[in-house]
Amino acid sequence: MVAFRCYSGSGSAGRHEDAWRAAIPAEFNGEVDAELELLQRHRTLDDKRYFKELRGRCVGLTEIRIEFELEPDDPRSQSESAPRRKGRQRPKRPKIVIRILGFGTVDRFVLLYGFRKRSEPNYGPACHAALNRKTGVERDGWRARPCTFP
Amino acid sequence: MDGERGPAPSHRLQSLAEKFRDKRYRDGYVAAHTRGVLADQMRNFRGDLSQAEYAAKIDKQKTVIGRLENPAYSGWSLRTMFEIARKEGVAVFVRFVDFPTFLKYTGDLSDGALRPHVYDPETIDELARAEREAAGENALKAIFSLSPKQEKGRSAWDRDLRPTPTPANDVQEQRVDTPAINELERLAQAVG
Repeated sequence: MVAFRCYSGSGSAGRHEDAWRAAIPAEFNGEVDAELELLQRHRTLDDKRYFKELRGRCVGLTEIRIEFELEPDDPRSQSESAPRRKGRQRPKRPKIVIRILGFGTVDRFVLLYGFRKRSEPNYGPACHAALNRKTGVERDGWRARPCTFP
Repeated sequence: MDGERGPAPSHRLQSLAEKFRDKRYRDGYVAAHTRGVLADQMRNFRGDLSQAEYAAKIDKQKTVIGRLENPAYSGWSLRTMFEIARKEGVAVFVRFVDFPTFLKYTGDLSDGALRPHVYDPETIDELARAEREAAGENALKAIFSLSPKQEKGRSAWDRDLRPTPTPANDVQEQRVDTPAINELERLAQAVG
């Protein structure tokens, strides 16, 4: 089991419980909540399928990996460009990749910055934001409140 | 971070009752939950074996195991489910349900709920025994909860418990003697 805390911004700017997920499109909230619920109640941070420690400019952060494909009849797939396949094969389903950057121990995790990963190879801006938030949380623990899913 | 654990079931229901009003949310949640649980159950089946060792054990390719353990994988077929279930000695339970039923049956994500026991006839015998006892208690309650109006004309025995008369068993009614009825009569005497 993993106990989550969610980054909720500074007190002076007014708290926003979902600040950590502001960069994740709301249309994927169902998938994100279901995955985090399973992580929270059933899994641990040493499962490499879901968690990965980052290096380089992101060192000090761990990412939660959430990935899924949209079915062809899903209205959300209309706005996605599915990768084309050669020949007469069916087009691949659009793949949605969500990353949530944070830090923690094997059973405790602070969600700092979630975003939808597209084709960009590096996490530069996301890691920068997450590391800033991490510093803030380490100074003032109340910037990350206990949170549960869904 | 003390005291932070999984949310109480009532919190889950209250939260999802609001969020499920959005079709995109509820469809996404149901799909991700189902994929995630299947992936975790596959990972549990493997235990300490490597993917290659487990693949050999159940006669599959290693890449197939990797795929089935991936929560993003949505290509599960009933055929694959039945095959895994046969090899693991467990059952499969799949059906279309309404959303309240879905919420009711998916609330328990404990290890006990996600790690099914291998087939064991004794556990089924125990289940049958418990059900028999519960049925006996219910019948007994029905006898003692009859209102005078209900008793008029037909007794609970006549209405609920008496074997359907046929020419054959009507004649031998005095000798009807089954363990269940004996047990009922014993309970009735104990209570009365």
